[in-house]
Amino acid sequence: MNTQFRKGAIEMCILALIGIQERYGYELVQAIGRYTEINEGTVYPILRRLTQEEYVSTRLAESPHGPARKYYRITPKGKKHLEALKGDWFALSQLVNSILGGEQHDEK
Amino acid sequence: MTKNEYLKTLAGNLNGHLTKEEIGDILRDYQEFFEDGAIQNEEEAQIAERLGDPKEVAVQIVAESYIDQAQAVPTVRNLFKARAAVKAFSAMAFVLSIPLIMGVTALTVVLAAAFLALVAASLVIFSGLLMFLGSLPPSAAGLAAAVALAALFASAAVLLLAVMMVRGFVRWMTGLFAKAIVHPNKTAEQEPLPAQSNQIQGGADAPKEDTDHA
Repeated sequence: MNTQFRKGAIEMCILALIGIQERYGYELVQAIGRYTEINEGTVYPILRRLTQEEYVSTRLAESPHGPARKYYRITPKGKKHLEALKGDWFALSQLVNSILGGEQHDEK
Repeated sequence: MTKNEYLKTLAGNLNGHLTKEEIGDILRDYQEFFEDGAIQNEEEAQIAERLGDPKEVAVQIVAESYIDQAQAVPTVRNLFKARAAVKAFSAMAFVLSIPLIMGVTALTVVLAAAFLALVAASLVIFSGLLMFLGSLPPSAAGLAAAVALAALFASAAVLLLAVMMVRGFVRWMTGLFAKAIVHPNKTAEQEPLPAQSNQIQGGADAPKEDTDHA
């Protein structure tokens, strides 16, 4: 159950990280790696799905000191989707937090 | 594992499941990752380690691809393909097979019954019209024809309904399969995600810190 829950959350986080700024694969994996340890090879399948669902668009760009890089950028559809996900997430996490740790809830 | 070994294993496990273009695109992505890692002075073996077992990565990509296919074209055949692909992934697919087989069997029976009713109704129409048309009074013949026609329409409706049920069922099952695919994690349990998500919300690429719940 935990892993399933986590899967959805990681997808949302990847979309959020792309939402902040356009990124290429390695950069994105590094950014996620700062927060959590995931099997980094699984980030690409998620990116493929986000691209297929048109939440993210890609472009290939030559780079002067490296490989041609595929950049991922959030689309208007993706932004909308992210906002909806965020709303759901915050509503849920607020609920869970207030039940699990009552006194911490008063901080915000 | 070297970069070439990694890409070769990945390609080998994708072959036959995805199109050449898709595989080429995927390999391009992973190759880019290796090259970017090399720029950061990472060794190939290290990068391969970070990416995780290429077989597992391939299995995940293949399973998702079959699930997408079954959702786009919800036929029983595609459902079984998706099931086979997910089976490699988790024991859950085995558990899911039970309702799957029951559902497919039930739907097949409904489909067969609808077909038979359709055929029977057509036979009634034709035999009725051919054999009794002359001997019966016109009102009775008309009634018989009307009943037969109604039966024909009803069985056609049942058939249509059965087809729609199969499609709905396939979509539903593939949804369950999609849930069965979980990303292999390095560590099963992490600190709670809400804290991480709040940091992302803040817009900063800040490193791990316990800012929340302090």
